[in-house]
Amino acid sequence: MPPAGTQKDMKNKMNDYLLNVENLKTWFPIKKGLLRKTVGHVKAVDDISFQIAAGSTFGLVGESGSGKTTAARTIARLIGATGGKVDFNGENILSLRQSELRKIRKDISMVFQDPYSSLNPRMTVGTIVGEPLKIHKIATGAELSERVAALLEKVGLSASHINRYPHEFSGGQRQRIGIARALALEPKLVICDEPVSALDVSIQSQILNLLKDLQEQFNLTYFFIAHDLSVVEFISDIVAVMYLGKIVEIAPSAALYENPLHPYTKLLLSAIPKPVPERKKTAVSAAGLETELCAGCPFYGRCPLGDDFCSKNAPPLEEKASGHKAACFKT
Amino acid sequence: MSDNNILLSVRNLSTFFDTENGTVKAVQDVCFDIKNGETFALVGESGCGKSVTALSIMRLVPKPAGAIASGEILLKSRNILKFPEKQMRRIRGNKIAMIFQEPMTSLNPVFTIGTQITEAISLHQKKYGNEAKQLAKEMLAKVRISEPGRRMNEYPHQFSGGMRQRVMIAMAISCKPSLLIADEPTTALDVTIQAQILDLLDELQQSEKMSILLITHDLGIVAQRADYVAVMYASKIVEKCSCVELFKKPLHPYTKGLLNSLPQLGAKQKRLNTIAGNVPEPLNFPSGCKFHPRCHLGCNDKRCQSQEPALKQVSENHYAACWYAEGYEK
Amino acid sequence: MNKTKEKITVTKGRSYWTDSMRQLRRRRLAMCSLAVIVLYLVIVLFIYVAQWTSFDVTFLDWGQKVGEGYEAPSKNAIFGTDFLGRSVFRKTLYGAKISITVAFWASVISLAIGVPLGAAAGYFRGFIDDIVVWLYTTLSSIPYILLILAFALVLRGKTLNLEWLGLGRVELSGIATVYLAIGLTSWVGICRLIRGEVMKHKERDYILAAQSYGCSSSRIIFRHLIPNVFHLIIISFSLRFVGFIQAEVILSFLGLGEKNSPSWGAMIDAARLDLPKGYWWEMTAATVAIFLISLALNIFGDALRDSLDPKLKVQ
Repeated sequence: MPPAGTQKDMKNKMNDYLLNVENLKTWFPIKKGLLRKTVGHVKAVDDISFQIAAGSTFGLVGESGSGKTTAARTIARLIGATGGKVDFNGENILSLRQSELRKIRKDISMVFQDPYSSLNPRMTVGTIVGEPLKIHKIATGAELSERVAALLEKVGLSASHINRYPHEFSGGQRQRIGIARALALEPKLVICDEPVSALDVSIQSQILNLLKDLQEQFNLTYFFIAHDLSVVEFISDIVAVMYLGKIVEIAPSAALYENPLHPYTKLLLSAIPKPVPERKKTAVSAAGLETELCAGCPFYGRCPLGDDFCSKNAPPLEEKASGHKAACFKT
Repeated sequence: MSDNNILLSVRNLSTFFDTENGTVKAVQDVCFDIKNGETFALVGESGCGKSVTALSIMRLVPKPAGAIASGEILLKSRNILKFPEKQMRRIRGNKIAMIFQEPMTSLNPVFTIGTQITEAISLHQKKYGNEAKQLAKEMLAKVRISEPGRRMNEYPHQFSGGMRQRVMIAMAISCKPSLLIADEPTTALDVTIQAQILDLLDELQQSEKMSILLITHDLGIVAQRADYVAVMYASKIVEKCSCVELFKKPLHPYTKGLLNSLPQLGAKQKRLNTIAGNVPEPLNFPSGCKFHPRCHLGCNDKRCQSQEPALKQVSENHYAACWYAEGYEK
Repeated sequence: MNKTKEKITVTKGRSYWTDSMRQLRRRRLAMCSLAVIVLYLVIVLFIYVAQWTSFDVTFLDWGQKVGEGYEAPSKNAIFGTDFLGRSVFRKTLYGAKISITVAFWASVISLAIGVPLGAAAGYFRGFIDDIVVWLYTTLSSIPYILLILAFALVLRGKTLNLEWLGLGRVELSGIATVYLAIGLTSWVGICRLIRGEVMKHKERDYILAAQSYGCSSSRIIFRHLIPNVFHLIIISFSLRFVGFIQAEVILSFLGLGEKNSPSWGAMIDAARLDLPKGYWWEMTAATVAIFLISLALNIFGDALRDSLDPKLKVQ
């Protein structure tokens, strides 16, 4: 923690939190016609709030199109936000101007899903991992290659790989390269966008263990996005479930799995095929295929509990138990 | 074995690919039988040869690089590898149908859903015009697509991923095949949609009385849906047994490793168990048992390093390819 | 450096380039074509060097009378002579100089315009993209040959004010007119190609990654995007070269080319009226010269495409 001045204290009442997201919105305009008039918005991220404590892991789960990746990219300032506040280390990074972004680029790094497209195929591993250091003028020449070699060894690769190209590595090794690049600038927050979902089962567990080890070693804070609940449960301290741009449930990892409150969370948990051999039908109703949006609860169309009230009123995210919030009228 | 109940029997199948850098042995010496009405799962990680096995059964191995090097594929005890191409075309679709992983690219974006299903029906069943259209509508209803009449006139991009996979299934089963090959049918889909698709396949299997060859990397899906399982590693089957047996008593260290490395819901694990190392590249398979460099039993064993164990029966209906497997005759 | 560092033997990686070049070397036909191309280049370079150093090589003097007019091919003049008794062989060699010079500069100009415009349009999109797309759709909706002709006619005999570059005023020679005209009109194809490819690569995560650690836009374009589309530049360079050679031939044939030195187009133009009289050699020499280099460039360009970007083959 940097020595906090009085001004900073004012800005950041909760000093424990590295990241404090308040009412974040990212809407994409839908443009139509010759003049490209905006006729509406896709509310990819719609009014989400959460906090991430320094040194912890925050897991964000959701299906494709739930807005989890958009949320991550908005927080990393790769996509412009429509509204809200993102306090990082006591500073609202959404209000930073383009020229001031370098500051947060050093402190927030990303690990991507696809180990094939996230590494430039024309660059050597050394160049890839070393580029952030070069751009921020942290190291050059011999020092640079020494640091790159150290980074590679930290993530379980050999320093002798420095002149090889990404296509000479397997998926798991490529993901390690991506992690080494993300750690190069010694960031405070690492945003992991589905880092293991493209990997083989036997490699997945290696990478998850590696991420955990690195967190302990460097006191990293993770913002971990995944669609696989079992992965998220393993790595996260707090888990949030996102559905159509909104957080529908947020709770400490153990509480969420032991006592899921939102029907969507329950549906997700029941849909995971468990590696226990018994033939059973899952409780997924085919009726909920069409997800038509109504004025009320976004999950209304698929919800087994929904009634008239739900279709007209949007449930707020309320604390139902200590530290356990859910957005549902029926719990 | 001349069991009347066996629909498809793959015997010693080997499929090789010629590349610039040498011959890739994608599938080696693979044997398995699929009984009528059962779901047979092929599990394995990327590059283990499970998809090439499926393509070999369809005789759709990409030419000219790939070719079936040896073996027999018996469909109702007739070797389809000996069939001329014209006869094989009748088998595809009519007797064996296939659905793929990517529902986004397996439909032609410029034709309506109706056109594409009707075409498949006309091609295989020699039914045309309104009769084919009517049948197409029935198929869509069968895969639980609401308002099939209206949706027939829509284009693939108007369908979600799960709906497209339903359309693919409708096309595949329209000719009542006796075997449906599903190559990672739900990998690209969300878990809730995945559950729906798998339920649908289950239902159709019972109503149409077909066998399913399910290719997947997900052991959870195998546990819930398969009757019989073969685990593939580096182009060979390393373990083969009934689904219940596989999860109750896995014998091959690779299978055990896979099962152990899965993160378990609610287990509050501090660390995950792992299999060390990486999946070997097909051009650089290790000597001896291909799993030995990653195996905690075999990495220092001379025999594992030099001799490759064949797939042998170790108990009733349980086959394994490991020198250390319980009951393995050396 | 400590001891452990010294022990590490850094293995050299195989880049896509080394892989592709190794593949290319295995193609015998491509290598033969390359030999033909190199032969043409050596001839052209030799002529240039001889001219610059004022090195007197009699057999290069194309204006010299080597025999009577319209002499059939013989030991004296292997490709025969033209109506003034000049050696057709020497004229053909000089024609190569003009053609290759024009094609080279035209390529350089079209790449210099097309690549940055295409990359900027594809990367920034929005307003810049609108302008670039408008520019090239307008340009490409005018018939190509007419456009070149118009440019050539306008540029002809003009002096170019390059004082702001410290180069003084440059009078456009016939040959400069030709390559400027071709270059300024033919960047559309490469621009479109690069724009599309950059748009595709921009969506890849490695670009997002570069943005996430603070890479500037120019660095992303030049260090990340251009290297990933560079093979396309080379492929298109080699395939377009043929087109440029042919464009030069057409312009010269129409009398808009270089006047003071023989070119293949001018040779064909001159021989056109002689052909019915049975004087076939000048026409044949020029045509064969064009045919050989075109064929070689096409085969080599295809091979280059196959080894650099196997996926393009399908298109």
